[in-house]
Amino acid sequence: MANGVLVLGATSTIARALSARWARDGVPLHLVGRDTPELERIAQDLRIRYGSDVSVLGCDIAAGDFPQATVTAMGQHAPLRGIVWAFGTMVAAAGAADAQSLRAGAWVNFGAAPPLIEALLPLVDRQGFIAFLSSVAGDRGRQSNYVYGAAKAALSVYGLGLRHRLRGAGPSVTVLKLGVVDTRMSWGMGVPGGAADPEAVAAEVQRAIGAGKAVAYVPRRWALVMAVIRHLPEPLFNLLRI
Amino acid sequence: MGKQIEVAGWGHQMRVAADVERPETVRALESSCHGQGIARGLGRSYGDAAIAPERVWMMTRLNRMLSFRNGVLTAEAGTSLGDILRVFLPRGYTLPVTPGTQWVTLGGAVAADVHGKNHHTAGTFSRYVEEITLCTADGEMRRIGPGRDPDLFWATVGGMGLTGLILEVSLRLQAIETGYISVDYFRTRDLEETLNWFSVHDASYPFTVAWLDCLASGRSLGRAVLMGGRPTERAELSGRQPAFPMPHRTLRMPFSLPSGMLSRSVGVAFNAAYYGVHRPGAQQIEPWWKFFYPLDVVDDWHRLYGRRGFAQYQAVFPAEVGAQELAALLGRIQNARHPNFLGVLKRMGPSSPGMLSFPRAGLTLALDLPMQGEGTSRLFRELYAQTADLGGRAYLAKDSFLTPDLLQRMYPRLSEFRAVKKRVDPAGRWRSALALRLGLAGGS
Repeated sequence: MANGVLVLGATSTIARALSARWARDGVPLHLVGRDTPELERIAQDLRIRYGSDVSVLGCDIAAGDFPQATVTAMGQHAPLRGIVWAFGTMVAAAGAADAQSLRAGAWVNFGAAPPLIEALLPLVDRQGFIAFLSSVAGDRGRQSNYVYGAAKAALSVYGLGLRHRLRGAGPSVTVLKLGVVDTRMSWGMGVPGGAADPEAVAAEVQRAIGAGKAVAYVPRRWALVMAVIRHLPEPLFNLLRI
Repeated sequence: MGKQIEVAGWGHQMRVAADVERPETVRALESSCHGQGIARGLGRSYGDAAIAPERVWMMTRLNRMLSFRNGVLTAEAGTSLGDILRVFLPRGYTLPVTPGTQWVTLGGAVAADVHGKNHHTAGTFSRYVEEITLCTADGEMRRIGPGRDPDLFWATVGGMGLTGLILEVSLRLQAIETGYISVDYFRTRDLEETLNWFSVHDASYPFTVAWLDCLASGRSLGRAVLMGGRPTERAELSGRQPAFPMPHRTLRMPFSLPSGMLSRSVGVAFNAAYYGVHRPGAQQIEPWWKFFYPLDVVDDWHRLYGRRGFAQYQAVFPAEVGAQELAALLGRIQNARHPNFLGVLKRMGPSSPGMLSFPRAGLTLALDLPMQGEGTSRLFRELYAQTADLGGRAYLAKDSFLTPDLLQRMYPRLSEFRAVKKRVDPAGRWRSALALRLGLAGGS
């Protein structure tokens, strides 16, 4: 299974939609995540629908240990066409969360990424890609979810730094700043304008990766929304209940 | 985390605010699986079968295909029939039975034990179901089938979700040569002729249905456009035609029309035009979506009926009910001067072993009626009373107006169903608005 795509956090809604797109294109997939039975169901679905080559690997990054087994196992699949970082978890607003869930949130959303990505880097084809599913929440700290936002901001900066380092000499790195998508994470939140359809989002993510973009807001209207929010003077920003 | 939203039936005349869960993993389903409520698929049941005042489990994201062996597909209950067709038609397999829309889930198809244009030859959906994984009120995942806890199986089939959450379904698909149906169109001049048509042609066509011109009256009452279809063989296609075609896109109904736009005069014109367009003649070879799912061409077509929505009357009558009784029933709608746009008539085969399965041998009649307040409710009550008097029964997946005593008269195996419900759900956890209305919720 050479030249497959490694999907880290493959049970997420968007990761599943993305995997389906690659499977449809005949790209082999390596699905990694915490819930192995669930990964197996997703893999079976992709095999039956698209006849694709899918392998599954359990890996609990939340446990905090470096997932050496994952890196070793992926070694036999090198060179990889690409890696998608789709790990992530919603964190309650700081006032409502205990120390442990704050630490776990920062770890799963960002902390675990650098050691794992650096270790996997040599396995990726030089013409390949690394994509980070980040969030618009990282663009400006807001009272409702700045712990999550801070970790996503760190993830975005890490991705862009990696891109800078690898330019011309390694895989292309793309940071996806996702707006509110209709996933299990956003289910139950009231979103003005509605949450985006995961399949449409996956299509746009795949396009942005293919085009080798540095940063892409998905859906695109979020680029404008966040430009306004970033530049809003603080007295005005303080009036917002967001 | 659940979400407080309003959910409605397909007719959009019944709505209720509920705590809606939409699990995406089996684990999430298990951990959200407490409290009282009902599972919901794509929301195509017309009335209140998939809405509940407490919780609703929206199953559409549990739609993974899990295995396909020897023609048997096992998939999660949220998988839609349209999805199955898109994956399996190109491999030469189709659904053995399909209702008039592809946008129903496997779980919904089992819960309503749906039927299609081939009921007289193929029976209901459940005939092809080999196994169901059912999450029962005690939190157990039970695998049931016709040979494995048959009582629970035949209560679940057609049981409107009231025995548990259907998580997986194993369905035997049917091998076919092409994705086309060869169709002969016929026209009849009155009800007598329409009923005779079925007697003559049911033996020669696996698919039969009549579209009634609902607004023709007097001597033309019951005139219809009739279709007889059979699977097209590969040899009938020209070399350039793909054996398994796929539709390109659907239209979308972006907003609701004002209620009442579909007035009686529009209905008369529509029906007359439909009757006029379909002239009998040469056989036509139609792609599967055109023959089976003509209404799926427009997404959200219920919006044609406006904010007040619509309701469907569907009933099946015993074989001895004939043209005279049916004419009286149709005449009653016309006397009420109630608009009525779609009328479908079909002769059905023998009933399924499902305790609350709708089909039985005889004629089934389906009519879409826009909601016009109290007048519509009154008409339904009259139609249902007459239906029960004729020994007929109403279809729970379409119903909004039945009462507990009518249900008792229409479904003679109700007590068997209640006994199973009491065994697997003594506290009455699984309950929809329909179940509460009809006294099917159980518990105390």
